[in-house]
Amino acid sequence: MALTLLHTADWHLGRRFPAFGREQELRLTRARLEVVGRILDLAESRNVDAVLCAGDLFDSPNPDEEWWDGVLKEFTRRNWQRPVVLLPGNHDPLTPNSLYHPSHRFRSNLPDYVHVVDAKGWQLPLGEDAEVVASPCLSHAGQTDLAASLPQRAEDDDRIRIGLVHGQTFDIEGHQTNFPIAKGTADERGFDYLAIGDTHAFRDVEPDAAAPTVYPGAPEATNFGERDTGNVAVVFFPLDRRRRAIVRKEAVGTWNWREETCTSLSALRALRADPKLRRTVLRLTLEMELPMAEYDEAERILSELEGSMAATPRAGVLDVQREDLRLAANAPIEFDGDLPEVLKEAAERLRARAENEPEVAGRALHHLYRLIKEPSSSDQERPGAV
Amino acid sequence: MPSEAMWIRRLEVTHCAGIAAAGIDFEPGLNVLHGPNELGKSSLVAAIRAALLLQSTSTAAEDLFDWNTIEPPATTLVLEQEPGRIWRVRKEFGRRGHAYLDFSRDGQQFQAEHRGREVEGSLQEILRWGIEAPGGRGGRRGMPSSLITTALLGEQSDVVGILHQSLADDPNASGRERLTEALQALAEDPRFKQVVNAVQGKVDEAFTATGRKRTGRGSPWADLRQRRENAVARERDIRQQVAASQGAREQVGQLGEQLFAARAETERLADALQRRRQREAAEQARKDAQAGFERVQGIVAQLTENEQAVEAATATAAQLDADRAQLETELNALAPLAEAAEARVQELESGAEEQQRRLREQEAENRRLALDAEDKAHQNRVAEAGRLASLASEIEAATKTADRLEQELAGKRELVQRARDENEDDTADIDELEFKRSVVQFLAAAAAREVAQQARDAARTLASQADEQEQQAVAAREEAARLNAPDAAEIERLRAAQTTWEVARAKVSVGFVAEVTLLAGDGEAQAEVDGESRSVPLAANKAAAVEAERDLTLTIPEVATLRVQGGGANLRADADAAERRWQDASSAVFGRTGCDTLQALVELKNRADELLAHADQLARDADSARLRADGIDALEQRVVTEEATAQHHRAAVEEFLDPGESVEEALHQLQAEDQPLQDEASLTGEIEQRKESLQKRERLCDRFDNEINTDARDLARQREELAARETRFADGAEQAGDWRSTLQGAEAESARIARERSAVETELEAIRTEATTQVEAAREASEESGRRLAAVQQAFEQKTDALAAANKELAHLQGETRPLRANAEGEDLEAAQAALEAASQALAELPAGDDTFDIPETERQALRAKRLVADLESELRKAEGALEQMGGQVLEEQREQVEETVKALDSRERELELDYEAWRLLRDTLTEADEASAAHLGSALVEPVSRRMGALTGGRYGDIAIGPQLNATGIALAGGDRPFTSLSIGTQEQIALLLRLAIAEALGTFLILDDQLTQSDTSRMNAMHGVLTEAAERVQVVIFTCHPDSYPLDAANVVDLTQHVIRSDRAPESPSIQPASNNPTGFEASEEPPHRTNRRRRRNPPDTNEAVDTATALKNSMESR
Repeated sequence: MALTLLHTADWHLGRRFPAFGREQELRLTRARLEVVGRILDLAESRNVDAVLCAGDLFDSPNPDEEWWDGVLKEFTRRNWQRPVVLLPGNHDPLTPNSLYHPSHRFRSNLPDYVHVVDAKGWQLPLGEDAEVVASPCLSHAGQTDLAASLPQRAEDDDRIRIGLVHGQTFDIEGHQTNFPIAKGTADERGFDYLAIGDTHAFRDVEPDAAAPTVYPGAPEATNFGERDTGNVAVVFFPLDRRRRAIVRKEAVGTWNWREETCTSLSALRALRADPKLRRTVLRLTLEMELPMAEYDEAERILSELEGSMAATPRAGVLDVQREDLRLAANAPIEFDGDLPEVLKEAAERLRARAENEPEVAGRALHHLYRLIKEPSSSDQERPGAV
Repeated sequence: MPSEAMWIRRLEVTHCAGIAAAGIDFEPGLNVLHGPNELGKSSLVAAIRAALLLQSTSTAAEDLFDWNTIEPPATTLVLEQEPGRIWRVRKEFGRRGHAYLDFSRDGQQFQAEHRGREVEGSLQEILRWGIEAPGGRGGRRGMPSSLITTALLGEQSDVVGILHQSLADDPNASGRERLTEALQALAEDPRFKQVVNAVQGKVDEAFTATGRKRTGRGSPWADLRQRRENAVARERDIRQQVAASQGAREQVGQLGEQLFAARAETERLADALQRRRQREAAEQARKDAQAGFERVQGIVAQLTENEQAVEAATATAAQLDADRAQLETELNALAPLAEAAEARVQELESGAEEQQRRLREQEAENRRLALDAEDKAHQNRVAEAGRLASLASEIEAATKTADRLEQELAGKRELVQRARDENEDDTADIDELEFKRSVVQFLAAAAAREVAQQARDAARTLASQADEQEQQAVAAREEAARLNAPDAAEIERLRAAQTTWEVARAKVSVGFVAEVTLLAGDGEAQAEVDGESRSVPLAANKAAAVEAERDLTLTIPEVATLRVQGGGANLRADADAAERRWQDASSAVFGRTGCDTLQALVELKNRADELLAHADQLARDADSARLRADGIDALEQRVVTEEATAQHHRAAVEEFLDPGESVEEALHQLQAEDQPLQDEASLTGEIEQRKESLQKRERLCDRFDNEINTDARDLARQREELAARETRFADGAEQAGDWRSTLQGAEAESARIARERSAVETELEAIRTEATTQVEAAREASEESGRRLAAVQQAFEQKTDALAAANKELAHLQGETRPLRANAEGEDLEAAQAALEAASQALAELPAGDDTFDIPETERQALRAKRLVADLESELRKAEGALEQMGGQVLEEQREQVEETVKALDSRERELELDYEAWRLLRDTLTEADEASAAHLGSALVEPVSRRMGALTGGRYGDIAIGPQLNATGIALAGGDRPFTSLSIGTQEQIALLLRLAIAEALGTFLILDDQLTQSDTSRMNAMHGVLTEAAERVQVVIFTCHPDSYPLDAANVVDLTQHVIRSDRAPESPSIQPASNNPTGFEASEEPPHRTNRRRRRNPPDTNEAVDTATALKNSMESR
């Protein structure tokens, strides 16, 4: 191969997940930093000639120090010669207060092999036979086609040319297109490969074009519903220049965002047994009506998934939608024979009430059931509940 | 006495209802304070009551004022709420604000906590008797009266008042609530209590006592609420930014519309101006066409005029030509004559010889000229031949050069081709080597993946094992917890209680036999033998013997019940007490555990210990497995990485495969080859070496390619030049003929021509020397003819000149006419007319426009419109720039994210609320069920009161009837309920005392009895000793009496009040208050201390100085404060 590149984008370091609990949010935000290390490890193992990072590496232009300091440590601990190119995207545009500004400690402490695209038409030769041409985002939004503004290939230039920009290749009605990238730009501008970022799914935008235009996608997903995330692109340029660059998708992400709806206890049991849950952000919707014993089992499984002070959670991050988990209040409830009458009376009152107020009275009845069955269970905390 | 029961430690009184001063120390348990009548016992009780319940400013305190002094009454009462929480309340009545509440941990050092009105509220919180604090608008005034105060601090004058009082008489429900709380706690099932406590704990996590949500640290709402507030604030900010962004976008839209309108106006003005200019241009074109037409018309007219003048000049010229022709005829006639005369002259002058000479001269001259020409031609031929020779030489040389170049070129091409062939071979080899290297890498990666998977699987197994062991450990602990097994100390306590009971029971196990003989008939008796029931058949005149160890109850239906008990009354009482203690101690444990014997409890505890030990071992095993499985995430990641690496290398291998060929087939094929695979480093080295050679050859080829191209171009140029030379040479050779022969004979020919030319010149010189005569006469005749000819000639010439002039004029006219005609030919009158008509038509066809507007003004308007467009474009750019900076899509993403966050937090908050509301509902439901399941509060008191009453009366009375409001209504007697009023005063006193004791025990507080039992007989009083002693184990009982011998002084703190009370109506030098130095015991030397017990340590031994100086000291103390 004449040249090998690793192309990544959309790290979104510093993105918060306040919808989850603090511990869970910490797990997810930490995962974003860990994947950077894996990306650089992969670049090392593949012995690539350069690493191109196509924008939105940070979720904002001036993130907290813990984020850029973590990236800085990943860079500084490697004694590399291969260039790493950081491109400001629309989330982290090159603004005066951005961490890409030369006065910022992040920028000023970057090792020599890490380059920041800080001008339009920025160029970096990769040896004698290749060069990278790039333009950064200077604002959060814009209508400029940054790829179209890159310089055209000179007639006598037969080097491998790689374009690097951040923007959107699609134009969906009702969707605000940002930094549009016209189709056919890679061929038109004389690129052998156009490395772009923004969309979180891996995609070869124009598979029929002579030169690939590729979104590597986010290395770790940022939300539910995102597909084909968790990858980077490893690009091989054959010695035979007539051949199209080979783009290979390589997995680096370890977290899976998954939405599940369980309508039966057996489905919930099966879900609990899934060994991949520890690295899963699970949005679980429960739609079932169960008699007390099974309701209690469902609650126990939820507790196991959420974890407690004494037990590691089975699910990495859990978001439970349990509005439709109902107790079948009219079903008989089995208690011990020697249960004090007063407790039986309380249970009967709650059961009658649960027919009209299933949410509160049903839960109260279950609390009572649990206390009667296991008096110490009320002491268990469910840290994931908050 | 339980440590949590509240008790009075000390009372000090001054100037209070006949008491000048008093200072009394109390003990936990039973306290008997005795003194003669009129000493002031009831005043002390009233002082205690006032200290606890009465405001210092209350008018109800008037009863405390001492008639013997003007000093206000003052009390100091020290209470121990629980160990380490000691309170001192000091009041000086009749003086506003003179109330103090001090706190101490050791009973020695007090610090002020409250004063004035705050004291009452705090005091009632400490007492927890359900009495609201006095004062305030609508608040109580004076001494509060409730069932609790009556029970605990009842007055001597109404010892049975408790039997006639009800909670319904209380001024509010707080006393009932307090008693309900206390009595329910007494009556609660341990399992229910456990549930209630757990539920209340959960409720307390989230709610305050008043039902409001907790807001402080640790509240489950606090963190969530804070996060939600932050998210909402963030959402608000982002919405504002989105709105601003939307505003900027709208501004961009508006500016775009304005720009569109401005551009339209600019175009409209430009269009109007253009139309106006088009119309003006068309008008101008029409005018131009008109002018053109008129110009062509002028040209045509001038042409006609000139043509007419030409016709006239032509006629003149024709006349002159005719005249000239006549003269010419004449001239022609004269000319032969003149010629004949001339010919004669010439004939004479030439002659034949002359002619011969001239011919010879001419011939010689001609030969000389021919020789010159021949010489020149010869020279030319020689030069052409030389040029051709040179050209041939050049062609030969150039051909050789081109041939050499061509050979060199072919050589280079062959070289390049050979290098390329080698490169192709090397490329194929490199492909093969890279393929092998990919295979080697793939095999290595697959092996590494295998290793990683094995390590991961091992770690998974360990982690799974650890999970399982943890779960087993948790299950074992949960099982152990479910057993509710007692701890070792509890077992020991129970064992001690059981042993005590067994010993006490053994003392009454004297053994006896009862024989029953029916006088007539048969029957059956029911016997309770030492707690076991059985039937005893009876027959007439036949004794049925029943043997028992300690207790026998024999019931012959409808005849009699016989009870026989072993041992003395004291031993039985001890056995009963020990049994009760055993039952009290064991019932909760047995109820909790489901065991019924101590041995079962021990086994249960052993089982729990085993489970816990097992759980610990499992936890250790799990920790160990977890430790060994540590790094499973790294291993998982390593598997992913190795898998990706293997896939990467597999894909690399696939790159080299033919379509349809699998990696496995390729590997099989490789393995089938004889040669083993080299290692990766060797392959890489070889590849690099080959690549280096390949690149060298490529560079060489490139260099040769450049040279070949240059050489080829040179060769082509040379060939072209050679071809041109050859063409030139062929043309020259064709013309020059045999140029080589010409070149070879050139010198001989030149010599010949030179010789011939020299001969001709000599001959010519000789001819020219000859001369002739006789021509003069002929010459004159000729001259005459010539003169005549000249005259005619002159006339002819004149005519000719005239004709020439006429012709000139004609030519002039014709010359003028030609351009006119040419102009006229270039001009098309019809075309000009058509153009004029077309221009008029075009003008007519232009749309009618406003030709009235002011063009300069319109141009100014157009200019202003253009400027507006420029301004708007500038504004639009600024607005677009602002929009860019605001964020657009990023803001939208942030808005979506924060909205999702708020939604999620709302959902969580709702979930939390539902959960805690469920706990609260459960708590309330448990309370309701408990209240409903208990018939009334009285049922909690029935058992202890009835039990004690049974003990007092030997089972004569049945259960005491106590109503829902604790209104004691009667007692079961002889199969029916009897009202209290039907009982003797003594019995009423006893029942009232038992009821008060039960209430004090329920509340866990002290009980003050002021001569409660005055009407009881000795046996009842003796029986009451046990009751009081037993009760004093739980609460402090303070008895004021003038009959100390009636009480169990052996188990009590006995205080002779005469040693501690100074009456205000007695002289201070009373012998009963001598300094302690003379009487350290506080008793008269001659007086025997009444049953002074030393069984209890007296924490504050009576200080006689204290007794003497109490009044002064207290007074000073109050004043100093």
